[in-house]
Amino acid sequence: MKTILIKPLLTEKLTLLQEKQNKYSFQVSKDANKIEIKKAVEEKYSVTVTGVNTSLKDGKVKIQMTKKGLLVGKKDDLKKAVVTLKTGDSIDFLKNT
Amino acid sequence: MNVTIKDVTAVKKELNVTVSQEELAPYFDKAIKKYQKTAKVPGFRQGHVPLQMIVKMYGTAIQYQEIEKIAQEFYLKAFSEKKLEPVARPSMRDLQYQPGSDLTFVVAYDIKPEVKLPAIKKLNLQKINPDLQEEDLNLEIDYLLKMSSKVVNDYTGPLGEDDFAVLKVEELDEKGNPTGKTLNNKIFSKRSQEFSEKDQALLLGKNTGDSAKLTIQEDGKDRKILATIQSITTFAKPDFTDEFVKEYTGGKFETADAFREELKSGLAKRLLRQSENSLQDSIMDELVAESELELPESLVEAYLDSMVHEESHKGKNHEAPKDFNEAEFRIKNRKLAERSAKWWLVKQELVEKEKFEVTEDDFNAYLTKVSAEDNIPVATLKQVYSKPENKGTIENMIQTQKLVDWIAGQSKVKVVKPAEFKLKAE
Repeated sequence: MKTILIKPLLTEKLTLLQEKQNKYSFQVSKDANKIEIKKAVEEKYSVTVTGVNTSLKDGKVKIQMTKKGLLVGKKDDLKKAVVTLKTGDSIDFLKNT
Repeated sequence: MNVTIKDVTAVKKELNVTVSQEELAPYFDKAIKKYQKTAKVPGFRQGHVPLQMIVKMYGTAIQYQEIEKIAQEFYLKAFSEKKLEPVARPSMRDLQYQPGSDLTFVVAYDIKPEVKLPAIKKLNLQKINPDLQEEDLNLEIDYLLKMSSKVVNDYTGPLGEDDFAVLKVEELDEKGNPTGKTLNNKIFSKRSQEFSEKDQALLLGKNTGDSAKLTIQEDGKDRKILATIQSITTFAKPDFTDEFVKEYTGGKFETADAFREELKSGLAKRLLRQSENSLQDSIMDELVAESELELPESLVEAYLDSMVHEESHKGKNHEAPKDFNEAEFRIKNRKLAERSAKWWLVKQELVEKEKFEVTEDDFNAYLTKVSAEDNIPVATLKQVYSKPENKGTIENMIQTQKLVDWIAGQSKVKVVKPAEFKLKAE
C-alpha cells in the first residue's frame, strides 16, 4: 500500500493559515492525486475535507567545492498539499507529542 | 498551600507542604512563556513558536524542570506564613509531583534549642598574666640576637646545641671494630631526627677531629658507625650593644637602652592582647562546657560547610589544595564545628537575656580606639566599615567584648603564666 501522507508541515506561516483559514499542510507522496489526499486525510484524522490544493517544489540544487572539482547534487523534489477543512473541524498534529 | 508541622525532637521539626495544581499553574505559565522566547523549532523564527505548541511539545518537561524551583519558593512562603525561624538552612526531601496532581514535599529544619546556662559566678575563669616579666624581655632580645647571628665555618669546637657538623662515617662490625668500609658523610644537627639522644650527647662538646662510636638506624635496623667530626659550622651571636642596635634598626635607635624600651613597650602590648584573648577563650570554653542544650545538627553542618568552603579555597588561585579530602576534613573538624555552634547558641542566649545592644556610640568608640592604636584616620575606618557586612563583624566583636566584660566583672579570674593556661576543650 502506498503512503499518501508523508508528514504534516508545521511552520510559522502555515500555523497562521491553520488559525485563520482552517487550512492544514502536508508533505505528500509525489504521485498522489487530490482525491487520494482528501481520502487519506479524512480517514486518518476523521474530518471532512472541502478542498485540496497541491504544489510541486523542485529540490534545491547543492554545489560543493572539492579537490576533484565541483560536486553537484540535488535534494528530493517535494509535493505539498494544503487541505481546507469543513468549518468546525480541526486537526491536532501534536496530540501524541 | 496546606502546611502541617511535625515535631521530631525538641529542636528537630518537619514541615509537610502540599501545593494544589491551581496554585502551581501561574508558575508553569510563566516558565513556559519564558521558554517560548528562546525555543528553537524548525519552521519558526526564535520567539515566534505558538504558546500552545510549546505547551504540547515541552510542557511536561518544563514542569519537571521547574518544580524544584517552585517548591523552594513555596517553602520560603510557608516559613514566612507560619513565622518559623530555623536556626540553620532547612533541607527539602520527598518531593513528589505528577503532571496534573498536587505537589507535596517535606522540609526538615531545626529551631533554636532551650539553653540552660550555668551560674556565671561559679565559672572557673583564668587569663594569662598581662604583666611583663624581665625574663620575657630577655628571652625576646636573645631570640632577636640569635636571628641576627653570623655563620662561622672554620670553627674548631666544642660542638654546641645550635651548631652543625659534617661527620666522616666509617662502618663498624658487631664488636665495634672498623670494617674498613667508608660510608657517605652525615650532617649532624640537634634538631635532626637521625641521631638518638644518646648519640647526640656523645657528639656534643667534641672538637674537630674527635670521634665517637654511634648506632644509627638504617632501613629499620641498627648499624654501628664511627663518626669523626670533619668540620663545625657555628653561629656567632652578636652582643646587644649600641652598635648592634644602630645597625639592626637602620639608625632608628641610637642606644641599646632606647631599643630595649621600644621592645618592652611592644611586648607589653602583645602580652596584654594575649591576656585579653585568653580571658575570652576561657569564658567561651567554660560556658560551652557548662551549658546544657540539644545541639541542632543543621547548625553544626552549617559551620562545617563554612569551614570546608574556606579550606577548599586555600590553594593556588583559590582552588582546593591538592591533598584536600572533604570527607576526612569533616570528620577531623566536627568537634570544632560543634563547639562553635554551641558557643553561638550560648552567646545568643546571653545577649538576649542580658540585652547587650551595640549602639552607634559603641561603634564610634571602637573606631576611635582602633584609630589610636593603628594610626589610621577615623574617617577612613568609617568609610571601610560603612558596608553592612563589615559593620556586622565589628558589632559582633563589640557585643562579644561587652559579654566578656560583664562575665569577668562578676566572676573570679585566676591569673596564670602562659604555660599554665589550659582550656577544657584541649
